[in-house]
Amino acid sequence: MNGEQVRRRLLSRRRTRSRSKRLSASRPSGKLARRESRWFYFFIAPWIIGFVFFGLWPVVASFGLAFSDYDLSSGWPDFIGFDNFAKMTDPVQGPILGKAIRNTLYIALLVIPMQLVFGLALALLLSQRVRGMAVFRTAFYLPTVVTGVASLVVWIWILGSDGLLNQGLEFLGIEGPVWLRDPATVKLGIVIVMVWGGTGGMMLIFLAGLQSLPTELLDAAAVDGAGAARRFWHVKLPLLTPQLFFNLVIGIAGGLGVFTETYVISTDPGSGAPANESLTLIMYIYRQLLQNFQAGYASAVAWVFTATVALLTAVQFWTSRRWVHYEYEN
Amino acid sequence: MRPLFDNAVSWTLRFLVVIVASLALVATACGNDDSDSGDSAPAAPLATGTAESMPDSDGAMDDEEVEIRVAYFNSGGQTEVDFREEQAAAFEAMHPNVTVDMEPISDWMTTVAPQIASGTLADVIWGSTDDGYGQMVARNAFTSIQPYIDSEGYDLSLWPESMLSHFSNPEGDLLVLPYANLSFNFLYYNKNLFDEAGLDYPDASWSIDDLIDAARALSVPDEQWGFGFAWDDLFLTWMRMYGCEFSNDATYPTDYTYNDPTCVEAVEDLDELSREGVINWELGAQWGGLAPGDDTGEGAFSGGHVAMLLSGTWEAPTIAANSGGAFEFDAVPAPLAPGGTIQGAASGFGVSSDSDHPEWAWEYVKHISGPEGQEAEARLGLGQSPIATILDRVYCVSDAPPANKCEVAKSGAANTKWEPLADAWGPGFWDVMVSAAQGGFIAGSPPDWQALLDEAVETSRQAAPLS
Repeated sequence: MNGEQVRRRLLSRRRTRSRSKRLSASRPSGKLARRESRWFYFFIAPWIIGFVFFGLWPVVASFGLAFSDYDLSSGWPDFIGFDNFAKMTDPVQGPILGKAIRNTLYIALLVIPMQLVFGLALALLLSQRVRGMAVFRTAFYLPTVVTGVASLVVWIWILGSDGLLNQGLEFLGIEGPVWLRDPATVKLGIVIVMVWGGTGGMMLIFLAGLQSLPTELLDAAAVDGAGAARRFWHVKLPLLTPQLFFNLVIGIAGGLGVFTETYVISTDPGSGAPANESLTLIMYIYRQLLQNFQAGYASAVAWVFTATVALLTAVQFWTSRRWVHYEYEN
Repeated sequence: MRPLFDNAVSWTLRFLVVIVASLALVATACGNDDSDSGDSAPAAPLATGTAESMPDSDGAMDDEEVEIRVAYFNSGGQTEVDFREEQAAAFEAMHPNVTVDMEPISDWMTTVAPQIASGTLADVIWGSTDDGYGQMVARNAFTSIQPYIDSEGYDLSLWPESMLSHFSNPEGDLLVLPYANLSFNFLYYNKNLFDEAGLDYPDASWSIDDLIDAARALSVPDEQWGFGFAWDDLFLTWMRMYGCEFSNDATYPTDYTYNDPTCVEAVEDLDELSREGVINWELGAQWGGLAPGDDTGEGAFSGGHVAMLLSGTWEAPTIAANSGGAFEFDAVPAPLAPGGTIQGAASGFGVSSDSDHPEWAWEYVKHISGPEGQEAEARLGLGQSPIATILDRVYCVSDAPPANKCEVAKSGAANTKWEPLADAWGPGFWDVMVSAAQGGFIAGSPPDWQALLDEAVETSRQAAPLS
């Protein structure tokens, strides 16, 4: 450790100590502290009660139900060990669950990269200094705040055989399919809807990241002769990896959890029509729970799904140490 | 100012007490008391109340204030909501001590399943063979109305026997008083398209081969389809038309039989028509179905793109409105092969096993599902009464299109089959057979349908046995 490093560390410790002292001095003590804590608990109690009843308890209960034979509408759960997990591969449920998984992966693997790429591209465009930029930013973020079902109704029209998209394709000499009715294209239709609806949120995160980039690094790169492309790949993108990481984690959880889109666009909501081609994993769980009443089995599938998403998230966190760069680390 | 509590620890303890008390309160609210048990036997039947009050079991006037809830599937929109409210108001006028709360439900089983689980079903509940009736019976959602019928000598002779037996439990006790029977055998046809093609209109003598020949003759690739389904699952009706039986018993089956030769022939023909682009439905979309216009069923027919459409009586007003008089249409009974039947849906009202006032619930069931309630509903065009005299008196004399509706409805009533009542039917038939068949219809090349259905039947038998 050289002299400069020692000096920095000492300065750092001194700053930390003095900050602690300030915090300690500003912290109330005695009666005031107790009164504050009471009011804290008083105001947070509704949330805690709601969380315990409607968040924590269902999660705990569903874990128990996953090992039970429990018909939603009658009886009492009977412990059956891992039978519900074995049922996922039986001749009846295996093929349908397999299809639901394939459909979900198909949608997620297309939606997540597209949302990330389009979100970043839009953020780059919207970070330019152009007159009326606020209008553009609002316009591109609007799909994220529009109620899902309302926008889906519009999309059903847009993706109809004579809808806006096919009319545009026809203008280019392409005969478009009946996106949401054809078994061959229904998933692509869902992908289009999800990319449109989810890109705005990612864009906002990227935009915030872009606006907080240290200008001295970009200026230094420019002075060193780096062009726009090189500045993007070697300066901006590495500095945006925290935002990229956040969007990726959220995107994977959201992409695998697709439900509303597939539920609403079907002519027979909840059926996975046509021919189970729009059946996703969450809709499969919904079907087992609320159409077949198999709460135990549905819980087992839900827990496998949750564990999978948790595992994927853990892998992302683990790999993030290699590719996510936080500015303060340096 | 005195502090609310003495110290933070004490406050925390009190906070925990509040949490525990709240949990207990919610647990109590969510729990069933004994009177809500689905196993509870119905109260002693009472005589029919005829005016303004009800005799109780001792024959005394019962003026106790009572509130009953009536849950029904709302398929008729605001028209039906208004009609049901009027029915309730009329009942309240007859029985001033009774308040009727109507609960229209648009997503039936999704709403009702948690109510069954929590023991909070309405007093009077709707039941339909096409919408979870078998599942509701398996979960004791209905209490038997047979004791009331026996006690009062309520006349059921007007109802078709087959329908009553389908709404009875295995012991023969009636659970639901049916008020509507919808048969999916209305073969609507576009007269203009037939005229342009120089073809004779369909009639009741048509065979399935006649239908197929005409459908092919009326098809123009990517522009016009000879035949269409109002919704995709009507392929099951198509199979029944050939004489295909899905199970060995129509009501309480013990085995799956949907792989017999008539079933195989039916799906082979349908698959062929689909791949030729003759039939307009979602499962044939990639073979040339649907476009132009992505309206499945009624929309495609009303748009003049489909020459013949299989559906039910309720479709006629919509077709008339949506076609805007662009063409003339009528309907004939869908052709049946020897032994063929029609898939249909029958609906009724019953008394829920959660009802605290089953006697009043039964009174209300009679009010809306009895002959007078059915006739009022038929006059409004909401329901197709299963009672022949009401059909003759109301439905058959109506000027509403199609002109042949009486003939079609009666043919349907005589040939309708409803979904069997078995808890395993959902996973065994819908999850296996319907899923496999749908996969076959969209497969890249026509499957070996006999092998596909044989394998599916074996899967159904092993994984979801009916006996």
